[in-house]
Amino acid sequence: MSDKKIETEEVNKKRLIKPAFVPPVRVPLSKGVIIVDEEHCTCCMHCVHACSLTNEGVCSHELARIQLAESTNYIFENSAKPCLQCVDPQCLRYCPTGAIKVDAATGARIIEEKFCIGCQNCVEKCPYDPPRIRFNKEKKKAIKCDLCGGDPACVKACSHGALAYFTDPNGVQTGYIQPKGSV
Amino acid sequence: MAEQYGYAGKILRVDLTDKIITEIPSADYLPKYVGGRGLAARIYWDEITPKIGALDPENRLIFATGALTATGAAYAAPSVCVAKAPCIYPTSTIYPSIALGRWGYEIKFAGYDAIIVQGKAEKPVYLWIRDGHAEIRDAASLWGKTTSQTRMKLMQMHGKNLQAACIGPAGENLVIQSIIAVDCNTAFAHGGFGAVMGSKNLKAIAIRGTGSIKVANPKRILEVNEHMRKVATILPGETRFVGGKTIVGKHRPPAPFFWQYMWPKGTKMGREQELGLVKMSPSGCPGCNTICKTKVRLADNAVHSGSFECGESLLWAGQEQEYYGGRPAGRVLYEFAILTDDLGIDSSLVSSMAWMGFPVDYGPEAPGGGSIMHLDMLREAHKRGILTEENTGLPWSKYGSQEFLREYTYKIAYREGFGNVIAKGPALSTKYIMEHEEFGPRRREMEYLYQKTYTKAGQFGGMRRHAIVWGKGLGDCAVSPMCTLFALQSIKRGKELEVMNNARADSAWLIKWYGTDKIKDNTYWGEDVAKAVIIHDYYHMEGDCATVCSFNSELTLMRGLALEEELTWGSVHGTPEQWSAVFGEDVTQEDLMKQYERLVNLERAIWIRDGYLEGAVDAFHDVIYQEKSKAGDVLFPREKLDNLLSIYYQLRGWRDGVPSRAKLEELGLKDVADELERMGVNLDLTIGGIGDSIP
Repeated sequence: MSDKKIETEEVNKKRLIKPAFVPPVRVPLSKGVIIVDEEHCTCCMHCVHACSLTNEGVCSHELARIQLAESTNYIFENSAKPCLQCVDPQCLRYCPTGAIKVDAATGARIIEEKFCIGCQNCVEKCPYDPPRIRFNKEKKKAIKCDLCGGDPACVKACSHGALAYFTDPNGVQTGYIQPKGSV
Repeated sequence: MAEQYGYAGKILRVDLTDKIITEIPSADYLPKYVGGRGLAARIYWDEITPKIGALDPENRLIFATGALTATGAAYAAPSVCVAKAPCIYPTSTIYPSIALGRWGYEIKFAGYDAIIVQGKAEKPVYLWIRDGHAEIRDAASLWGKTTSQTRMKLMQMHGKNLQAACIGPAGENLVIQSIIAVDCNTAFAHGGFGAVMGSKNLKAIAIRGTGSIKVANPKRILEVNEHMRKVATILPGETRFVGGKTIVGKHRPPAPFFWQYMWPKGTKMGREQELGLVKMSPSGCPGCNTICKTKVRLADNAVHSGSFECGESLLWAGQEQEYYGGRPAGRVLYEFAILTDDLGIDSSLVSSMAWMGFPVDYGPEAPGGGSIMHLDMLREAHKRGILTEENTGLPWSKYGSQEFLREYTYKIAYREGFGNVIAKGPALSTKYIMEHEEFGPRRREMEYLYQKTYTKAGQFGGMRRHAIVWGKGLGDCAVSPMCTLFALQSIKRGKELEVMNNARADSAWLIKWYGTDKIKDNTYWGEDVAKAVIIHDYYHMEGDCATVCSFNSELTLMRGLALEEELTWGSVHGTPEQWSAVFGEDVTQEDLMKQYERLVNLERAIWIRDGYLEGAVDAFHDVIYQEKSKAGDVLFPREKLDNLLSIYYQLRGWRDGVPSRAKLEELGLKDVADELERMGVNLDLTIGGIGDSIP
C-alpha cells in the first residue's frame, strides 16, 4: 500500500502548514469497512448511483458517499473510493459541534444531521482525495458513508466483484492512522 | 406543478453569432418527444429548414440527453448529437449520432436536457458551462491542438472533473469524417459533426455539473438494475457460447464479454509487455457492467493512455498482420486508435476490419456490425490499379505499416494531397476518383466498390445507408449488430445470429421475440417479416430516445429469451420497468411504442421535407438484389422485397413512404402534416402517385 503512505505524508504536510489545534480523539475501531479491488474496478459507477439513490433518493455523482478517484477515464489509475472509516477519523476530530459519532452497531463514523452546521471542516480535513465526506449544497449538511447500517448498497450493486464489505467484530485497522508523536 | 422526475427541465441555447445565451423550458418538448433522438428531431423540425446547409451557421448542433440518462437506470449512458449532417449524400439531412461515456450525465447534472448551438463565432471560441451558467470564451490557445491536448488544457483551466466535447484538427479543417470527441476516447463519430462544430468556430464545450436528477422510485430502479444485471452477466460456473467458443463463467470477475474480441487469440491479462503496452485494464460506461472498453497505456509514451473500444482495437490488426507477419501484436493498432482520436477522425471510416475474415466482398451476415470500411475499399481500388503511389502519394507498398498509417491519417486530417479527396467523404471522394482521368481506365469500378462497401456497411457506414433503412433510418449507435438488414438476414437464413456476447442466440429466441415462426422460412417475405422490421424500428428508437445502450439492452433481451426465464417484468428489456421507476407512472411496452411511432413518423417527415422523395430512402443499391447464397439462389428477390416494402408501408399507415395526414394527426403531429401539405406533399393515403409531391 505505497499509495496510502504517500497520501499520509502529504496530508501531514498540509496539516503542519495549517495548524488549527484540536486534540486528537480516540474512538473505537470500525467493525466493518468497504474494500476495493482496484484491478477489477471498471469505474462503471453502479456503486455511485446506488449510493445516491439509496441515501439521497436522487441520482447524483456529487451526493454519493462513494466516489471515483477521477471523473475521466483518461486517467489510468481510476477506481471507486469508499470511505475507509479511519482509525483516527479526522472528520470526527475537527467537527466543532460533535455531530460526527461512532455508530454502536457497525462502528461506522456517522453524522448526526441535526447537529451539523455545514461548516465543511470535515470535508477539508479528510485526509483523502477526493474527500470521502461530501457536502450537500442544498441541505447545507455534510454527508458521509454510514455503511448503510451494515448492508452497503454499493457492494450489492457492484457487478464486477470489485467491492466487498469486510467485517471484524474486534474492529478493523483501516484508513488514516495518526502518526505517532504528532498531534 | 408536480415534481419533475427524470428530466432536468431546461434546454440551453447558445447563439455564437450574437453571443447570446438563453434557456428554454424543456416542457415545450418533453415528455411528448421522449428525449435524446426524439427531442432533437423535434428541435430539428422546428428550426432547421431545408434551405440550411450542413456547414452553414444556421445549422443547429443539438446535444440531447435521453429520458433515462443520469437517473441511475442501468445501461442508460449514451447521449445523442443531432444536426444536419454533412456526411449524408446526396442531400444533407438529420442524423443522430450516439456517444457513450459520461457526457450525457454531465449535461444533465449541469441542469440541462439538451444544448443547442447555433450561429458562427468570429474567431475560435469554446463554451464553458458550470451548473446552469454558460459562457463563451476565447479558444485561441486551443485551436490547432489535438483532442487529447485540448481536453488536458481545459482540465488545467477549469479543474480536472469536467467533461469536454472537442474537435481535433480534422474538425477544424472541415473533414467530413471528423468526430466530436467526448469523455475519454469516445465520440460522436458518425455524421461528420466535427466539421459542423468546426464550421461554427467552436473548438470545445466543457461542462461541469454537480447537480442531481430526481427520480420517482429510487429503490425500484435499483431492483430493476439488479435484475437486468443478473440476466446479462455470466454467473460463476455457468457455461456460455461466446463468439464461437464456449466459456465458463469464472468466480470473479464475471467474464468480460469483449475480452475475446479485443485481443488477438488467447490474449490474457498479464501479456501486456508482449503487446508493447505497460498496462491494460477493463473499463466501461457509467451505469453499465459490460466491459466494452479497455484502458491501455503504451510502454514508450505514458501520455497516451486512454480507453479503447472493442471495435477500435481491432481496426488495424489485419494490416499489421499482413505487413509485419505473424500474430498481430496490437502495437500499430493502438497507435492508430490514438492517432485518429487525437486528430479527430472517425476511425471506422478510415480504417479496415478485413482481418476479421471479411474479404472485400464479404456477405452481410458478418457479425457485430463488422463491416468493411473505407480503407478496405481504397485498398481494393489499389489492387485493381485505380489508386497508385503516383496518383495518391501514399506508400501503398508499405500498406499495414506504421508509416502508411501515419501518412494516411495525417493527410486526411490536414487535407493534404490525396487526403483532401478522401476528406470530401466516401460518396464524393468516390465520385471524384471516377471523374478524374489520372486514376486510370478502371476508375469506373469505384462505383461498384462503393456500393459493395456501403450497401452492407451497416452501422459503420457513417453516411446515408442505402440498405434497408425503414424506420430505423439514418440512425447510428456504437455497436448495433441488429440493424435491420442483419436481422432480416439472420431470420431468413435461420442461422445463428453471431452477436458477440449473447447466449446461444439461435433463431429460437428470434421467433420468441417476434412471436411467429414464419420468419424462419427462407422464402417467406410476408406480413410477419414487415412486423419484425417494425419491432426493430421501435427497438432502435427506444435505444436512442431513452438512450439505453442498444448493445446492452439487446444483450439482456437475448439472454433473457434464451434462458427462457419466467421473468418478473413484462419485458425482458427492462426499459418500461426502468421508465416506471424513474417517472412514477405505470408504463407498458405498448405505451412506449406509441411514443416511438410518433418519432418514427416525425423523422420520416423530416427526410421528406429535406428532399428525400417518398420511397427514395428505402431504395436499395442494385448490388443487394444480386446477392446470392452458396447454393446459388437469389437472397433478396426484387419483386418480393418490393412487395414486402408495400406491406410495411400499409402497416405503418403510409403511402409510398409518406405518412398520411390521418396517421400524423393520430400521433399529435398536426402541425407537421400542415407544413408538409403547404410544401405540396400529398398526404392522402388513397390517391396520387410517386413523384407528384415536393416542388
